[in-house]
Amino acid sequence: MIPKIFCAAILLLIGVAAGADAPPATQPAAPTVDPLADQIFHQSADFLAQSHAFAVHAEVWKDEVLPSGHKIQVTRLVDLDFRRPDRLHVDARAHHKGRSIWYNGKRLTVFDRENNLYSVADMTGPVDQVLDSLADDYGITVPLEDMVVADPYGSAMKNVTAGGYFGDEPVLGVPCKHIGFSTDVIDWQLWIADGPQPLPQKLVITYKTEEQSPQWTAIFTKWNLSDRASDLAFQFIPPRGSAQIPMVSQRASKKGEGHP
Amino acid sequence: MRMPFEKTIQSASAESMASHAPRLCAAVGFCGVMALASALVLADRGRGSIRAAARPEPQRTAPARAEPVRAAPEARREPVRVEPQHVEAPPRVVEPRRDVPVGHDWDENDEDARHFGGFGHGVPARIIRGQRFHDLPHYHFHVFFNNFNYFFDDDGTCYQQEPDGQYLAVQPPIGVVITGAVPTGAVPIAVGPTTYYYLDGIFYVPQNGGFAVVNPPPGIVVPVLPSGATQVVSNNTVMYQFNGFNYQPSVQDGVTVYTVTPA
Repeated sequence: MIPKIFCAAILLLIGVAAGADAPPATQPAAPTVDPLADQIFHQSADFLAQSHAFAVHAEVWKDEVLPSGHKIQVTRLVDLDFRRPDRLHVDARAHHKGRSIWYNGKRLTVFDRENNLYSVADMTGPVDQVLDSLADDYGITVPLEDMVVADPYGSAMKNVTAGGYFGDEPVLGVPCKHIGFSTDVIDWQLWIADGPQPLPQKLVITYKTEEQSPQWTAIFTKWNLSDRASDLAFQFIPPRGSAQIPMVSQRASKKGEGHP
Repeated sequence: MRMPFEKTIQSASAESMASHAPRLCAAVGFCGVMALASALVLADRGRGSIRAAARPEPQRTAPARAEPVRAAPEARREPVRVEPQHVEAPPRVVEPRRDVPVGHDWDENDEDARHFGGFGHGVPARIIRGQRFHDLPHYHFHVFFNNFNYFFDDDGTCYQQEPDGQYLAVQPPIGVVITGAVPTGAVPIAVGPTTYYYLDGIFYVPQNGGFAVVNPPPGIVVPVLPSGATQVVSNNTVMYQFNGFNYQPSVQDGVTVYTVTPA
């Protein structure tokens, strides 16, 4: 009897020790995306990707968590003009302030409307490349950039861990299909027009890892898929009294760190 | 057909609400010399972009985040009753603001203090230097410095009494020390081991339990211009001048900031 108990204890200890050495059982779960949601988004993304040029207006509501703990919502209006592969103009306005970006395939201009100052950086290449350069080198994220990349589907579905279809809901009277996806950092929902032009009508991004999970909401209106935007629309013309100031790249600023 | 997405969202949100993970705060590199003003100014990269959420955070040397200094209760300034008609302020705790979120992203620097007023940030509208007042604000304190009387309100505005009895908003003199907390709305800016507090063209450093007004270190970067700064254009270069210092604008991380150097 005693030897049996002893052997069992030994086996138990070995098992515990083996379990301690074993790798954790939690493996990254495979994405659980509703095929219907995936299909709806894929159709919309492909439709955008195949649109040679478009313009859209967005009213953006952004949650702002104040140091006092209050969560408020601020609004800005964004107008986007885009022509593949290398023309982009974004105009963002809020109250009496505003900033704009022009990219004409050769140079990118950021205009600070409040101070009447603008900054120019030489850039070439397709918009995807410029967006990456802006983010990596200058710390600038262009609003609505998800709409203008060459592959909106692949870009947005990167890191998605789950997705679902939540039925039909109208947005400002437009019948839409409501889908949502989740990554480790954000949840994003999209309302896509139900019709021959499956264009996004509303986008909500929830920053779920941040305090109070602020949301960023955009309502899209005035979609214009005509290819009539002239080059002039993507050309910055300095307003009267404006002045040019340098645009400091993060690489340059990093070099200078610690050298007063 | 429903997938477990709904449950995933709910559980993830519940976890995040419970954990209250800190904001993604990407402190920014700095033009030549020092850390940029409030790290919050340039945090929150990529708001409003699904694509940006997938980008790795830049590997940048994070400047020491200057935390606001809360004055010890015993060090808080005691209001001085200067004139009989002035109401003596009761002792009260002045809570320093942590930072001024003047901007987060290239288009998101619109949430400044004046929009939110006292509700959001506790930052009132600034008083422009040179304005004259019949009387001092309700709460104020008095500092005697270099044979002159100076009066400060809690917002950091400095006054001097004119011969006609009125009070003139002035730039506080270099070296004057205010006791207690840093004025409401001052932005902490870490420069090497020193934390400066910037508010409307005035730079403070902690000193002997209070805050001394000092000249800005050359190269310090501030997020907003002082009120009353004048624009100077020379050789097609725009610059602003205030109180003997140049404020050179540039775009960093998509927002306009100003590098301060002696004129």
